[in-house]
Amino acid sequence: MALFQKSFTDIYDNYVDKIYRFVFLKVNSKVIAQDLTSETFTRTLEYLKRNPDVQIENMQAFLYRTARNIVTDYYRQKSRQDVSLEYESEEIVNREVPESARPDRIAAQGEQMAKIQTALANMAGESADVVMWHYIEDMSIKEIANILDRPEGTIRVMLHRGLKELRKGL
Amino acid sequence: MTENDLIAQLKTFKNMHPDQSWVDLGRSKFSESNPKTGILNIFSLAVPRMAAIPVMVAVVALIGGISLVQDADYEEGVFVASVRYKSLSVETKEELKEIASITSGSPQSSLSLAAGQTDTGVSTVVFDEDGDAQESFKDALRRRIESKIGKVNDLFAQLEDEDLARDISLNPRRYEENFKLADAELGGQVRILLADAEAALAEGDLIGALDLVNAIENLLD
Repeated sequence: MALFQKSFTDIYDNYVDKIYRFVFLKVNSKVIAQDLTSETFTRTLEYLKRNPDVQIENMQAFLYRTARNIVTDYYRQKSRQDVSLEYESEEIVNREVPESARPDRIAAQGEQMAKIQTALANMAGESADVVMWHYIEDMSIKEIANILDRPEGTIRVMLHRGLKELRKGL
Repeated sequence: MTENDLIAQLKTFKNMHPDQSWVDLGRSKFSESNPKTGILNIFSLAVPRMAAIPVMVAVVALIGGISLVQDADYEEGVFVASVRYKSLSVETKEELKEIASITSGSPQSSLSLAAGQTDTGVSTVVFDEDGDAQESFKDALRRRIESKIGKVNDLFAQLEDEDLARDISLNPRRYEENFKLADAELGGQVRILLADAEAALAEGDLIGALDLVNAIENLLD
């Protein structure tokens, strides 16, 4: 198994988009997502400083777990009703400009995406995470199973149920 | 919205990125401290699955997706299986309890999957030192799964056989299930879950397989 010497800024560059997207879809607020994403990387850095001898086998899984804990803490501290569910369409920055992401297409899809975003944020449990990771981040069942530390069969069931729940919530 | 439409919409969220100025600000903050973080194997997917179970002392066996561990809280020779399937459906939990009650035969061979335990994600199956209870539990579980898989395969076979379809039309329950399977979208979902269940069974993940076949039953309800 090859080992890679990475500086923390490399880790940040590799994962900041993913973690931000994950957090944003859970809290539905740009400002809060920025704060919680920063907190995720800050806590991770602090952990690494405190434990210089610890080997993190899977940094992506570690960051997602940290982000999930931070989002959970956030919701514990703040009533969910206080969180704006307003859809922040300016969040979508068109970098690669695929057909589906062209501004005119985004405008047309905006309302539907807002509904999906709200439905995702309102989903209980881990099903929303599984749906996001698999369909948005293109993560395999095996990768998700590693993050949640569950058997792959369980993840498949969660994915199936999550998609069903999401459709019901729209 | 069809499932495919929903998946297509979900994929567009991948074009969502944070403001570049905010990203740059964060990078500068972290690059100031920027200690080398040691050896980080960021590409490995290998996370020890059992590492989070606090009660475990040593893994001694694996049956049916249940890791058997020898627990310090129990007397010597008694094994505790920690079932780490907190997302199991209610149906599957109840069915596991039922199978355990049928196959146990001793008070120590019991299965506890109370709803309250989902917080920790750990439930326990306790077997005594005699391996028979473990084996009978595993066998009963496998038989139950095979029976359910067989039933769904029969329904698919009947779907393509007009004579058999007429036969099952006499059975309202099976006719209804078969009618649902004829729907292309639902039938496709069932086929995927069925393939996953068969794979899980082949891998020895019996509890995962049971949950999958129960998910199929829910779809056909």
